Amino acid sequence: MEVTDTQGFPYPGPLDPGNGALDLQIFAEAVNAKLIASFADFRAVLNNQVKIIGLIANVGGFINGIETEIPFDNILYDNTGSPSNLVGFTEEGYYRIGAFILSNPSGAVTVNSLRLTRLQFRQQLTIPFSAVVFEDWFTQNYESNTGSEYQTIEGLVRVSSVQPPGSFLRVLFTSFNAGSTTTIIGGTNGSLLWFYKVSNLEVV
Amino acid sequence: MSTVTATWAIPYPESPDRFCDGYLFTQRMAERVDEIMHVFDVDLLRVQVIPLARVSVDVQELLVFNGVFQQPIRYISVDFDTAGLANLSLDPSTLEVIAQTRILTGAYLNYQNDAGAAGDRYEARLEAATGGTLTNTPSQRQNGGGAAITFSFASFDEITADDRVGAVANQIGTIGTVILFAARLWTMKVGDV
Repeated sequence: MEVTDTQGFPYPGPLDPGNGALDLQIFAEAVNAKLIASFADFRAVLNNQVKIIGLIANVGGFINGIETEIPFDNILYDNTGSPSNLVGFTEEGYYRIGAFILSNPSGAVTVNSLRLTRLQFRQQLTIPFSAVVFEDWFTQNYESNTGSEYQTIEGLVRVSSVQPPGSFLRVLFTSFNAGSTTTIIGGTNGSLLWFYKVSNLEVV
Repeated sequence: MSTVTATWAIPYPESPDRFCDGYLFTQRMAERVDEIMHVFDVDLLRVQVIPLARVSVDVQELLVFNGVFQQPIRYISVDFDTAGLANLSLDPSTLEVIAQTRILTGAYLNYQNDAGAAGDRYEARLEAATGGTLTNTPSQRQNGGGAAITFSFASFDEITADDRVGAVANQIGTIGTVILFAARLWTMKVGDV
């Protein structure tokens, strides 16, 4: 039996016993196996991982000057296979990441007080052992009057390890409003956190 | 053998081809399917890992706006680069566009003004050097600073050696200085031309 150059498809040589039906069956099964693998890879590219998570309801009580994680808890879309509210990566790759944060003072407003949002990407590396990568993407607004502050932040990151305890995103929010606490708005049209994969690290 | 399928030209025998040549029929069919699947594999590889790159600077830098109100950012680290788009020794301020392509580019500038006047604003602005078209999409922050993030889409239909994309810090207002804490510039292919 001979094989083709790149894919290794089998075909009979001139000295092989003439059995046309069996030769074609062996070839057909090799093509079938190749197509199964190729279409699986193709579908994986077409359906890269996406996770979008929001807040079921408003989250209040952000105190002046205290950085606090926003507890995202409402999975809106997730094909990562991880049902957790933790915005964690289950595959290595390059990802676009982002967050939209809507905040509002609960009462009195300190004019020109700062709203600081930090989108933090964290990953645990295996080489060098136990090294941890933190990457921060900041955005900040100055509240000049009453009303909502809209903040959007987005970036592109390389996830090169998904080893335990995992690689994930989190959003830390600090309000410097001294007049009252600050509320992060949830629900419909509320705050969001997301990632989606744009590329493998290397060819599969 | 004179007969092939309509779309992919896969050869097959038909009467009055000789039965004793069966091994040749199978060989030709296998070689043609091999060629087709090889092309498929090459295309699949192109979408599994797309051309993208990110460069950054995390060392605090003072940008002095004194008559020149637009300054390129000088990046010092190549964070990742799948296609040889970053060459900071050649140009520390831009990423290269090396093929006819459509790209999405983003810039992140985290800065704070040091001596700006009331009403001054600072922005991140993306620019394309020669070739291609890139819509200016500046993102502004008021006096006091903050992080500016901006995106733009560009189509490079023709390629020259100078096709690049970069980000500048731009001051709008009076003379002043800005402390740049961190900046990141990234680009990724989103499609063929």
